[in-house]
Amino acid sequence: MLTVRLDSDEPLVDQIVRGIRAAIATGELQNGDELPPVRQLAGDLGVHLNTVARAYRELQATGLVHTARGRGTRVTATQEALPAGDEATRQGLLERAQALLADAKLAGLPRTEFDRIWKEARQAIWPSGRTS
Amino acid sequence: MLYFHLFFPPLMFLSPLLVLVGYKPIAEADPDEVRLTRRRLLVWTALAIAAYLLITVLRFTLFASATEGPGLARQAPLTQFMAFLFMPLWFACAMPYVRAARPHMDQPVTKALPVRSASLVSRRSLQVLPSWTRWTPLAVLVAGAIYCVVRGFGTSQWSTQTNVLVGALLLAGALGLNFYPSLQRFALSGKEPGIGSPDPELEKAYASFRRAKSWGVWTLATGFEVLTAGIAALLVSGLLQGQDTGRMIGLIGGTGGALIGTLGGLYGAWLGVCGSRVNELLNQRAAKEA
Repeated sequence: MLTVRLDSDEPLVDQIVRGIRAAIATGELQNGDELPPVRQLAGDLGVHLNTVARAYRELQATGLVHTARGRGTRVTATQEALPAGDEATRQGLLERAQALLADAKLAGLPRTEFDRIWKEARQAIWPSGRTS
Repeated sequence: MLYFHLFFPPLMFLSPLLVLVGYKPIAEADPDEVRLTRRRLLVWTALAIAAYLLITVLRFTLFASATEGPGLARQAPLTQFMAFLFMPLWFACAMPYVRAARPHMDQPVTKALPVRSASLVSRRSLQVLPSWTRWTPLAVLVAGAIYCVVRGFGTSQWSTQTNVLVGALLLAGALGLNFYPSLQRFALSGKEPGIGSPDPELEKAYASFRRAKSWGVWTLATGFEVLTAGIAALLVSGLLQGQDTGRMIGLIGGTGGALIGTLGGLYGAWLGVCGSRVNELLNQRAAKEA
């Protein structure tokens, strides 16, 4: 299931990309699965066709999906075609994690509560026993 | 043919009346509007049947009794034009009643809620019907073709004209079959908007709506194959037995066509009900989210 917020500051394209990436990461979408056609997803979300098409193009650029004429868009990899664990990626993740922690602290969330949320999110991406 | 002309028009009047009996208003319907449209449908159906009976009796007593032979058989077809009343009855009475009884039927979700959700499953590749439904329309056509070739081909009665007729019928069946997968995909490709987090009840309503659409397309495809293959087989049988089957084929075609039309109307109404259930859930969800 993909959810977008029309009133969010985050562009719709980014929200769709993020949602599909999360679905691939959690295993909701497996290698070889067909993504909904652009028309279907745009119709269901009530957004423009070009918004969904652009999101699919961005996902294709990362190597996660591949679009073939007449055969739709399919998940082709469960890992991006980027150098795994390189320094730039690590740095980017660290900055985003710090920003997330800052948001939680500024919102007045106790650390124990944040740990619970973090554990829940981690469980969705890496269920027990799964290391990659 | 006499029975066809005599009984078909009243059956067409009665089908909107069946809607009146079969449709139960849901709790949210406006009771006044439902009562008024129900009364209007009853009055119009009663008037249509009364007019039909009057015309039948008048024609028989004034004209048929003055002629020799089976007068009713000659006069009965004159009453069939009354069947045209079916359309005004259906669209002016039955459908407004259905809409009044289910206020969500035509009501789309107009509130622009900020949170939207959608399934990430490609619906065009879904198999919502049992696996046996995939090969049945083809099997019907192939069985008809085998019957025609085995029974008729090579016999002395088989002619070029028969070749063309049977060939054209089977070709029409094959062309119809060719459209079946596209129609199935089209039936599944309708919009299925979601609001907020996943809602199992809404997903169930969508699944039910999808099944209803797919069964409709399958019935249409199989019905068409049965009709074409059946007429071709009948043509060959008649030819081998030296009988003129033209009249019988006309009757089957006419009755089959009328039956498909009537069933199509009822099916359309049923689809409307399934769609209204989805709208109802969406509206409830939208009200909750707002």
